[in-house]
Amino acid sequence: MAPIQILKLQNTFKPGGKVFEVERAAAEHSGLVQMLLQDFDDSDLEAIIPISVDVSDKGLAKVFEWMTHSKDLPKTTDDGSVRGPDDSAVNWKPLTFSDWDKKFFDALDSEALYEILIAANYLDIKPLYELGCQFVANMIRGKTTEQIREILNITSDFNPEEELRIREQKALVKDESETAEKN
Amino acid sequence: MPAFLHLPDEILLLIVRAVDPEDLRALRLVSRRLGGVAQIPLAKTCFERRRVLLQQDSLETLVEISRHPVFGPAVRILVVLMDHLRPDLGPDASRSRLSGDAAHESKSVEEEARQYSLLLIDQEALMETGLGTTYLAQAMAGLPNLESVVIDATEWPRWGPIVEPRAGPQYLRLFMSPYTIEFVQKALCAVVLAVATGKPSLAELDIAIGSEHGGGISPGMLPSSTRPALQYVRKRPISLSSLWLRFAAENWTFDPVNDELEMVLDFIMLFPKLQSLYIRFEGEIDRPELMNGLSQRLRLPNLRFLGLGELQCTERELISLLRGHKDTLEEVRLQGICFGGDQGGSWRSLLRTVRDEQLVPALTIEECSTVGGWVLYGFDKASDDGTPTTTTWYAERFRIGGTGFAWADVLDHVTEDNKHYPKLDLGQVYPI
Repeated sequence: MAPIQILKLQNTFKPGGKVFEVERAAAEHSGLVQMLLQDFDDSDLEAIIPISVDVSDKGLAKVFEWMTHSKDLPKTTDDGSVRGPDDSAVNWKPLTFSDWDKKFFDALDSEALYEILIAANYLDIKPLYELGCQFVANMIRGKTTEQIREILNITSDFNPEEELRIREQKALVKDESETAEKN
Repeated sequence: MPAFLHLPDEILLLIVRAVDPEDLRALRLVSRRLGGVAQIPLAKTCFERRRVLLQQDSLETLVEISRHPVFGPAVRILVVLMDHLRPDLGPDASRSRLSGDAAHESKSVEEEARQYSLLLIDQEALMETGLGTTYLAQAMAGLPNLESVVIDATEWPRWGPIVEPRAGPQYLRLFMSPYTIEFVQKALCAVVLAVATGKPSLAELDIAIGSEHGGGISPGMLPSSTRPALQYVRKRPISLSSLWLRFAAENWTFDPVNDELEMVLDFIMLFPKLQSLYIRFEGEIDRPELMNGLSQRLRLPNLRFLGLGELQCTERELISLLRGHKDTLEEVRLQGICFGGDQGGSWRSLLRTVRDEQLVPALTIEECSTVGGWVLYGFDKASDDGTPTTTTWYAERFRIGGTGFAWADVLDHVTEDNKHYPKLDLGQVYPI
């Protein structure tokens, strides 16, 4: 029997989760799916594979969209090696945003972005959560504390005394080479 | 609807690790949770290698860091910057340059000069009263993971004229102003005393002043052990195991009145427990008396690693130095060592002696030479198509013993069936 090429995945965290059909080559980006494929026979894989993560079907759909688009990219295996489409070992390269990735992330609202990060972390899709984290890091790079709060929609939970104490520690986290440069 | 703070810690950690140090500082204040997550990368980025100026505010900050539960333990390397103010380089010195400017600018120069003068008084008071030592000792005592103290000058002299980093001897002469020599001497004295009182378990002291600019220290910058402050160190030796000294060759005067080598040896002997010693001369030094003196007078009872860089010497002197430490030496690294003159000797002969007398288990040779050519080592390389092997010669770094080539193969030609071994032919000089 030919190996199963389409996997059916359903989020059972809440009742009534959508059943997603995902190409095997795409699903193999997930460390969790790789483990399941190792443990299950092909006959088991014909059934729906349950996953349980606190994200909406909309968020999960975006994850599978990225996986499907990136199905031919090298995949990280559970032993840490990186494998090409023919399962041969390839050298790991630092991740960079492709034009498609840029459009993909730029089009997300913050809710979808955080859902992708949560789902990618649960499904152990290393390149996706690394790109997602990099995307968030780029959003806050060079911003002030107040701007970061606004971008990430975070309200400060420091009391005024705590905040003042941390602000007074500013000299601590400043490196002396900067002082010398300014002088 | 998930919010940013619903993300698991491992994701937040990946995000904060991807931002710049400046962003980490901003993130600390965003919220308690994000501040907590940012604290560890921040500690690693800003505190693992911490710089301090010998000025009161900088030293007070260091003491504060040493009391912080996360930042203090993060400090592993303390870089004590030798940047300092000099009386001849204050704003007054540049007044003539501004003489044609508007009157209000002149007033501002006056104000700057006044501030500079006050800072200079503070700087001198800090060094004269021993307060600098007290701060440093207090801070070092509170840094539980401090391993290494580096003495460096990234911008030297502070507030001085802009000098091209590689302006050569002219730049070095600036280093050699009497005020700077005295400042560095006092500063080193303060650091050594601070180590003795605050961190006697310190492993490494790296005196690398000016090395980034191709400079280095002069023997006159090393404090004499007869200084009252260092008498304490002599009585209670520091357990320092590693000392790196980078000298500017140009700054050695070889004045017969001052025995500069004695100054160096006197300083080294402040640390009798040394296991690693590295001495490098930035800019090759070709004074034969220097290595001759070192080979006869340097004796460290626990020396396991010896590194020498950019020196001209003879085979005999080098062998004498190695024989003097034969019982303890485990590794020797020679960089840019040149056997000069008629009595220079040969590398083949040196290696044979080292091998036969088992002077040191591992020896690294990097860009060493005799006058006129590099020391080379060769590899027989078998061709895939069965044609005769070819030998490729290299002059860069190679190691014999330890993880390097086997001593047994050194100087002996390899057999036909053993082609993958290196063919060392070190007696021959191959001009480049």
